[in-house]
Amino acid sequence: MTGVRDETPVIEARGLGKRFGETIALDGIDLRVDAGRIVGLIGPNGAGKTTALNAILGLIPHDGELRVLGQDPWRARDTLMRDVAFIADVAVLPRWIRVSQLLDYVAAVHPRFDRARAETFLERTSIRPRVKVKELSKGMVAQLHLAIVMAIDARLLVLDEPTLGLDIIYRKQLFDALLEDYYERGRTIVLATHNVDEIEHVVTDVIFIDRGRIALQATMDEVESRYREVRVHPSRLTAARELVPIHEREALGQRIMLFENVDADRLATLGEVRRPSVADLFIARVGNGASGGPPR
Amino acid sequence: MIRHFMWALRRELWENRWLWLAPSAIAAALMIGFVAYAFRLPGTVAAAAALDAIHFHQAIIEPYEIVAGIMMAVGIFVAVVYCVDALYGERRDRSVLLWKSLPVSDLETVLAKLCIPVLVLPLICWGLTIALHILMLLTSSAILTAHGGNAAVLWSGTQLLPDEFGLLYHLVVLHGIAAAPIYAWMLLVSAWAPRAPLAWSLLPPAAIGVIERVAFGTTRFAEMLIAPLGGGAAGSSATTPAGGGMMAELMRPSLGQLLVSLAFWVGLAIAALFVLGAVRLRRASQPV
Repeated sequence: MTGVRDETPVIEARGLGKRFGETIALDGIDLRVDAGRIVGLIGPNGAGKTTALNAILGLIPHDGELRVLGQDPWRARDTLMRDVAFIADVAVLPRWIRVSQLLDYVAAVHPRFDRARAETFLERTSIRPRVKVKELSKGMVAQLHLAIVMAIDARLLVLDEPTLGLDIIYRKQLFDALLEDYYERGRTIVLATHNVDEIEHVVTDVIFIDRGRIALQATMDEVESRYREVRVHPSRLTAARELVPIHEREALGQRIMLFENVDADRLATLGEVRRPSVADLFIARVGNGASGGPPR
Repeated sequence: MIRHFMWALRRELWENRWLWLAPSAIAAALMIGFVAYAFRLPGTVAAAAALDAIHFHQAIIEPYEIVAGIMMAVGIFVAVVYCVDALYGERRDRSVLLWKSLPVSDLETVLAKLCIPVLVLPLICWGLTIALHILMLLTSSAILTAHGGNAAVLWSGTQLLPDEFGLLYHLVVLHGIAAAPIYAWMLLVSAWAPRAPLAWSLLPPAAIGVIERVAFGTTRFAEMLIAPLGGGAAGSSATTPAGGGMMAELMRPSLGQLLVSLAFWVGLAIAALFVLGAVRLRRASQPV
């Protein structure tokens, strides 16, 4: 990775809140995203992910303190967008526009857009410049939007449910492109999703959000060192429970327990120890009672 | 700022091709209608020759005035349809999230959208009207000449050039700038309405008009609204003395009269408030 690590956080929120009438979408959360990280913002549907991202992108007013690249996004959205690129959770490219017109427009208004890079990306696809967006498949629209966003030399890239409704080929292309971009430019990426499995091997940090609150914020290294999952031997169940697992479940007739900050050597005496998946950790920290059901 | 504004304007014309296609189609239909009429022109010119100079002039220019009047009405209709959907449409198709992901301010976007009814549409209608007038003049000249008539009476009778400048003033200053409060109001509603922006933009003014009529028996609010779209600024006299000619009618009220009219400046101030309101609403707007 070639990116320069900066001490100033890319995103810093203190007491970030948002209400929609009586509904509390964000309940005064504290958040910090440092430069050069790939952060997975994970939560069930309705957890507050999109609201948090909308506040970060300056799309909605908010309570509390929020700085993105040192600026207040609500007051300086248009200047902030020189350094931030984002894709919303559903197709937002207007159906009437031609691919060439979209490239012309973005090239004209965005000082950090590299048109040649976008065209190179599009050459790998079957998207032709004269085609209108309405003539493209859903996957092609996503590829087009991604080509534009990837060609913007933004310091922060925000993707909200970028793979929603798309096939596995596109998903793989997206994450390959993200990783390639990350290692090439070292920019900060925030990925919001309820689909944990597909980003597990991409992110450097995870933030769990549920009912407008942060349930966990940690680097993947911290996750690996703090949490252990043990497939407990039936004869060791009582001893295992004495170590107060944060979650216990049954799979294929075996008890599986998740421990936080428990010595690995001690756990090894209980059964087979392994690193928990992010999905398992999410269920342990957020639980099945999450508002939209557990993430996949 | 100017670069963003010009590209925002271009985007509006890409998206709303009907802004020039619809007036062009009407202009084409008018031209077809005129060609059919022009075959009766030799008889009309002969009958007009028996009239005095003023009535002869009126008989010759009448089709040109009708065409200009229809194109004005088309311009107003297209402007109203455009305004009510301008900020609602981008929320409906969710493209507002794309536009707001780019470093273009809400003010630049809203001003570009206001510029369409205030400047772009009047210029489109003016250009089409000039093209129509020239084609009409050439067609009628050819038909008149073919029937042994003197086409020179048409060229001297129509006074094309000064009338076209009068028309430009009328369209841009009176239908565009003086009517800006109406268009800005529609943009404000378009930025706010959860659905049916046309109904929301028409209902409040209609309600005020009805309440005024019932309570006071007057129609001043309705007259104030219609005045600019009818060609006059609010508060100015739009009456036309007989024999003033097309040019005089188009230039009324004059720029001088307009600039000293309190109603004109109050109208512009109200338009500015509506624009600021639309900018604030767009700032927090989400797809509907």
